[in-house]
Formats: sequence, C-alpha cells, structure tokens
Amino acid sequence: MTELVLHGVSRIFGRAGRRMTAVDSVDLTVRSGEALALVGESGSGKTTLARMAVGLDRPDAGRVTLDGRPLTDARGRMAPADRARIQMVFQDPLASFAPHRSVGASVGVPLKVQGALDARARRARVLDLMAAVGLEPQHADRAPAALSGGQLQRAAIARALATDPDILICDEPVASLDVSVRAQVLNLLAGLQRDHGLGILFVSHDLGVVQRIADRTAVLYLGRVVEEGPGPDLWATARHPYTRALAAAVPVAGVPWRARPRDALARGEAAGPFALPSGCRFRTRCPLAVARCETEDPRLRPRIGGGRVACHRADEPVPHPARGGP
Amino acid sequence: MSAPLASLRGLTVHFPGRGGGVQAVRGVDLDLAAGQVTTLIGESGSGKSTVLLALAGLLPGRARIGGSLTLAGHSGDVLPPGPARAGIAGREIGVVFQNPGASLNPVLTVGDQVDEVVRVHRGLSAAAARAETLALFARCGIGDAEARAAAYPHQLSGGLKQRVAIAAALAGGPRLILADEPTTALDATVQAQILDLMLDLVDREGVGLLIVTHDMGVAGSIADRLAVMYAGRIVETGPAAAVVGRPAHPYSAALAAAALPPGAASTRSDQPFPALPPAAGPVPPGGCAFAPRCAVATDRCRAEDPALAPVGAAMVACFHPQAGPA
Repeated sequence: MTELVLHGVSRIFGRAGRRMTAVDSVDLTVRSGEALALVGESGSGKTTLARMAVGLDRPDAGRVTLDGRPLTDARGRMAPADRARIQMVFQDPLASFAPHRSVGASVGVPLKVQGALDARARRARVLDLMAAVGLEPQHADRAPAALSGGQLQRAAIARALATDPDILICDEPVASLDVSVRAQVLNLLAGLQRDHGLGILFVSHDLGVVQRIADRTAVLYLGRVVEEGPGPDLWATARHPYTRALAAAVPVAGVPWRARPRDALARGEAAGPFALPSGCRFRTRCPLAVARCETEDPRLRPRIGGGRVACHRADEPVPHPARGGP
Repeated sequence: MSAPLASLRGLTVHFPGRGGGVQAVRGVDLDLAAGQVTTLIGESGSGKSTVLLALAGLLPGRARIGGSLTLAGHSGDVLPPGPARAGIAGREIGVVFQNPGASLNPVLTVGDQVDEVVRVHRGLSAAAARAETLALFARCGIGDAEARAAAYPHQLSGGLKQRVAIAAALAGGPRLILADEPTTALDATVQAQILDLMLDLVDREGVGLLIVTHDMGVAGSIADRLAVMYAGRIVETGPAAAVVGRPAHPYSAALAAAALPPGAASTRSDQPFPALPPAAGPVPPGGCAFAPRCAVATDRCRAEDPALAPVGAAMVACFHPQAGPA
C-alpha cells in the first residue's frame, strides 16, 4: 500500500508586489488502487498540484510525502527509486514524445535510465509494455507523428508504466483526444487501477470523464479544495454551490438547454488570482452567498455523505435538486 | 420550419496537394432556417469546419469547391467566390470562431475593432459607430460597455472576449450566424453563459444559428436540428431529439454512447464503455467510409456507399440502421 500525501501545500508565483497563490494550503492523499480525480477550471491550480505531486515542482509551504518520507530532499531532488514509483502522463501526447525518436525508443527511456536491462531485454520489455496498452510491435518503430492521438497517448501510458510505478499522475490525459478514442484510454487507465492496484491522480476539467474513473473527486476553485467526496456520486450529492454550478453548467445531450434549471448557475467569471475577494473566494459568483461569506473564509469540514466541504451553508438543505442527468 | 435562410446543395471541397490532395467534403446538403439552431457534429478531420468556411466564403483560394448555395434575398448561386459572393460575409452571414484571443487584434481596443466592422458594413460616422458598438455590447451581455470598449483583448477574460467576437459578428446585421466550436476554449461555467447568449439571439431576434462542434453535450442540448458528419459526409441528420434519443447510424450511436454527461445513471462501472477502433488510414474507395470501424458492416458496406434515406424522422446513410429514431 503506497500513500502519496500532500500536506497543506501552497505554491506562490510572481515577485514582490505582484504575487499570486496558485495553490493555497491543499491537503490531498493518493493511495495505490484508488483513483482520485482533481477537477477545476482554468486557473484553479490543478496542474500545479499535479506537478508538485510528481516532484516536478516544489511547494512554497507544506510538504509532500511518499509513505511518510519527504518526496524530495532539501534541494528538490527525488531519490531515483522514488522517481520510478511515481510517473506522469501529460495532456498532449505529441508534445511529450521526441519527434525524431521512434515511439519504442521513447517508451524505453525510463528503462535506460534505470540501467538494469541490456538493449535486447529493454526491447522485449518495451514490446511487452506496448502490448499491455493494446499497441502492436510495429508501432514501436514508427515516429510519434505516424501514430494517432489515441495510440500515442497509450504509448505515453506504456512509457509511464515502464518503471512499474505505484502511482500515475495524469494531467488531462484525454482532453486532446477525439471522443471516440477517449474511451479506449479511459478503459485502459481503469483496467490498470483495477487489475494492477495502480493509484491514479486524474486531473481534468471534464466532469463526465472524471466520473468514469474516479473513486474520489476533489473540486478546486482558485487554488483551494472546496469539496472532496466519493467520486461517482459527488455531482448528485454536491454540498458546495460551486460543485453544483459546475455540474449544472455542463450541457447534456437530450436535455434541452432552454429548459434546464438555472438557479444553480454561477454568475460571471472567476476573480483573478491577484484580486481574491474577501471571505469566501466563490462568494462573488455564488447564488447562495450571505453576509457571513464576505467576512469569514470557510474552512474545510466534514461533509454530509463523507469527504470534506468548505461552505458556510453546506449543511443546509440543498435549495433545489442537483440535476441528475437524463 | 420557416423558409430556409440558406440552402447548401452538394457541397464538395477538395484541397489539392501531394498524393492527390484531400477530399475534405464529399457532398453535403444543409438547410439553415431563421430562429433555429442547427449543429454539425463530428470529430477532427470530418470536414465540419470546412463546411462552415465554405458557407462563410472563407475557404482559401486553392480549395476546389463544388455545389451550390442559395441565400434568402439573393437570386442564383452564391457559393463560388466572385461578384455574386461579394458583400455577403459579415453583412448577411456573421462568423464566430473557437479562440476569441486569436480572432481579435491584440493591438487595438475591442471597441475600435467592432467600430470598424460597423463602419465597413453600415457606413456610419465614427461617433455613430461607437454608439452602435455599445448597443451591440449591451445586446451581448457585456456590462459596463463603455469601459470594456476601451480595453485591449488581453485585459478581458475568455468569456468577455467571446462576447466581443459575437458582437463583431452581429455588427453587419446578419440574419445567419455561423459559429465554429464557439465554447470549446471556455471553462464550463462560462460556456454555459455563452450558450445562453447565442440561444437568446435565436429565440428573441430570430437569428439562424449554425454551430459546429465535437461535443455531443453541446450539440445534443441546444440544437433544433442536428447533423452528424463523418469523413466529409453527413451520415445522419434530423430533429435533434430524434438523433440524440435514438441514433440510427452506428457512428452516431457510438458518439452518443461516448458522450459522458455528469450524473448519468451509468456512473463508474467495471464494464468498459464502448470504444470505437481508431480510424484506419484513408477512406476505402467505393464503400461506406465508416465500414472499417463499424461493428455491423457487411460486404455490401465495403462495396457500395450508402446514400441518405429516411429512417423515422431522420435521414440516415447506412445499409444497417439501428433501431432508429422513434
């Protein structure tokens, strides 16, 4: 059982006079065998969190631990053995492969870095890995541009699996794929988690996608976790008005847009990270905001139905039923 | 259905190039009516954006265009570039693109940019043009219009920029708006606001709207009529409720199944959800373009290309339509 834990991590960008807190005191845990989805809109800090979870970036406050030990040393370096245990899959597969290297050679790079296998054994392992994600041996000898987006993203997953990791960090892994091939990649990730006990941190802006893979979901808003709860049911049982607004904003085929309920929708757009509102940072868009929200920043506390929520009005009856889809 | 604003017949578009070039559109008919939303849905490479550019008269000069387009109030065919076409784009057909950041000029204030469109199309003085621009901003839900008009594009959020782009598209007073993935670049909560704005224009002002999208949720919730494109052809078209509710073409059915609305009954399950095999190379000559990926394809499908034929309320190009729209 592996546990990757983010303890109150914050990340601040910018210089004196113009600072922005991209991630603000976030606690999260990723466990082997479990998929944790991180949902948020642009600027919510989800990619920054993912980069800190894999050691590509360091928090300015708080710490990241792997099985209780710090993930990085004082200079931000990870032990090679730990690097092997946490691997990452990026959003754009074409941008994450060297264009002039064969796909198979790229998939074999982590093995080369580890140095345990000779060239022949590496080649055999690469073909095994590619077969495991549903690719043919011939794909190994092609250039990245010769594969389709779905095939290349599966190769990226094969590369991430090369070191036999316990935890996979996936940053929008299907956002650049066509709808009809998205399903292949999601099925693959769900199978790896179920059959091989992989822990997955799945970063996405797409609630529908998240729902197919998440055991738990955390919703981020302007650098804070505002709600975390059981994955498949979080949208139906949402306690935070932002979670409800997100779910209500997604158009659903077969549900006429003109006829949908509008009272859960958020007003306007998110405040810039340089000018956060006082109190609750969602209050300027919130349909439920009251005077208290202006003065008092809500803390995360236990949530009805399990998990955590940061809203002064979270325990009140839901003002309207959250839409449950068609 | 009222008389169509635009009738497109037998559109073909070929881009010459190496290896015979690309046949992007292979015979598309489309009728667009006032006060109605038509969506054209397809994946990358299906030709959906090429259809929109052909309607707008914005295809590059090297494109070889076949077919005809009649517009309400114009006699004869206005599809080919030339004198018959002049003055239509902008004045009678407004166009909105995916990325408002790229379609606005970064070194001019957004007010000046919309002023320019107003002056070109209506021949107004500078002062009258600005008054018209402010009225357009108000129509597009841009609050504090005077201050916004003095802003440069980078000073506005993505949602506001798309509102400005819509205002510019309306500046010539068109009865038809063509929008290519108008909300794809926007966050979910902002997408909802832009969809509301566009539907308002349709419902209150009787604008005819064509939306090109890859998103089944958008297409299947806002459309009155929906057309599904695959490999340069429309494979299914009809009332949106029929096509979404009971898709008859195997490709439409796969798209509908791959759409992942939040809160749908089938949340996370251990059953893999339906995945289409990837597109396999160029379209086979003679047969149905979808046959190589189709689970119900027969020898006939590989030899003969099916034409659109009525199935229930829809028109479907398939020899083996599924249960079919009710």
